[in-house]
Amino acid sequence: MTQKSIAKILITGPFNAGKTTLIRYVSDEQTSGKDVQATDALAQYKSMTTVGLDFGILHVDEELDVHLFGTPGQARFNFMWKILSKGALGTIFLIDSSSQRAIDEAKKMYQFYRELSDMPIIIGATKRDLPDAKDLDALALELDTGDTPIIPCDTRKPDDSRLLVLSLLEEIITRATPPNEDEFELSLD
Amino acid sequence: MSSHPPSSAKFEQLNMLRTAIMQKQTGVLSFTSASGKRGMIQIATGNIIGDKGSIDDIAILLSEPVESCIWRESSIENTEDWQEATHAISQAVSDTHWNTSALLALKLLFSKLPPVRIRMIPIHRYGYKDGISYLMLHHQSLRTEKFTLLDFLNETSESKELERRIKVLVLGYCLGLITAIPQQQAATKNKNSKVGIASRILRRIRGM
Repeated sequence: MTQKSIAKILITGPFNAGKTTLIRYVSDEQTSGKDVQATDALAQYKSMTTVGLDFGILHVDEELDVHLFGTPGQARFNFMWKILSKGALGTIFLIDSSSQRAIDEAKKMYQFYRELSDMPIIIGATKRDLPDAKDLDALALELDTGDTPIIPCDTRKPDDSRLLVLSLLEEIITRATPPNEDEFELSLD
Repeated sequence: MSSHPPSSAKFEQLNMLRTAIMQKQTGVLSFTSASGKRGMIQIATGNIIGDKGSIDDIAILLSEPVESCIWRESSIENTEDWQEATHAISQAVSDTHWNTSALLALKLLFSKLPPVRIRMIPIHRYGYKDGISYLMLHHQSLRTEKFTLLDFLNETSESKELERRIKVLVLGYCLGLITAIPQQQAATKNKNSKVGIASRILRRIRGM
């Protein structure tokens, strides 16, 4: 029996951004970290929050599984971020764009991941439908994201969640393969 | 309507601009448009020399077929005043409009390209006003393995919408964000390479 290869994708970002939901829509199996009642200052934003980590498995084929790790969003678990990111293909960084508190958290967290390695990162801006949602320019400026794409998404929609993962995969492939310019130009004949 | 029917309209300036930007060339692009407007754009290592006037020149260059267009490699003396190509082209394309004939000519040209890949960058940060259309193009390209620009353009017959779509194609093409799908030899040769693994996951998620 052939042993399956495992690829790893990290889903990270501050609390209440939609990480658990995203993993649900791109996994065949999901084990959620324990949802507990938020007791600290977060309680005013979210009644239940994930402690530990979210974990999903996507069966790609007979030889490959993808493990999706959702990091806990609270800063006090930051010791886990480095451990979980080891060996990951790339990272999806989710931000609740309607919460200034989450954006403030995201600044530190994003810089942490940027300094950790040069692995591909895609940023998903969630909760765009809420009245306080920051526009993408403002978000990019606050987070100092440079050329990292910020993609608006609603992780409650399976298609949005999958598109975010597809964007990350495409970024991974693009970085690793030079463009093929042979015979690629507008034909003027 | 332009006197140039779509089949003979020349937009070779798009190829020249793209090559100069992607290959980070230095030189001057001189052109005469079909309506007789003349201009030149100085490019240094793929960046655009000059300020607002250069953006206006690029907008003119892009807005209609050219009678002639010449790229001449040469050194540029004053390179102090320059803008990133992404910034300059984004702003120029934002202000560009085409007549029906030019739109149809561009539609035809883009439709003939082989399957493409779209690189996602935060285009809104460079002054491009219609990030949503670019995002739509990018999302659509992710859904299928062999995405062509014909798929994207054929979704609309309404001229305003067609212009919005042509704009993001001109932008993406000139900046090298629209590229041919690479011969993924690495992926087929070694399916356990990073590219091979990512390609397999991509296919699996597309099928969900």
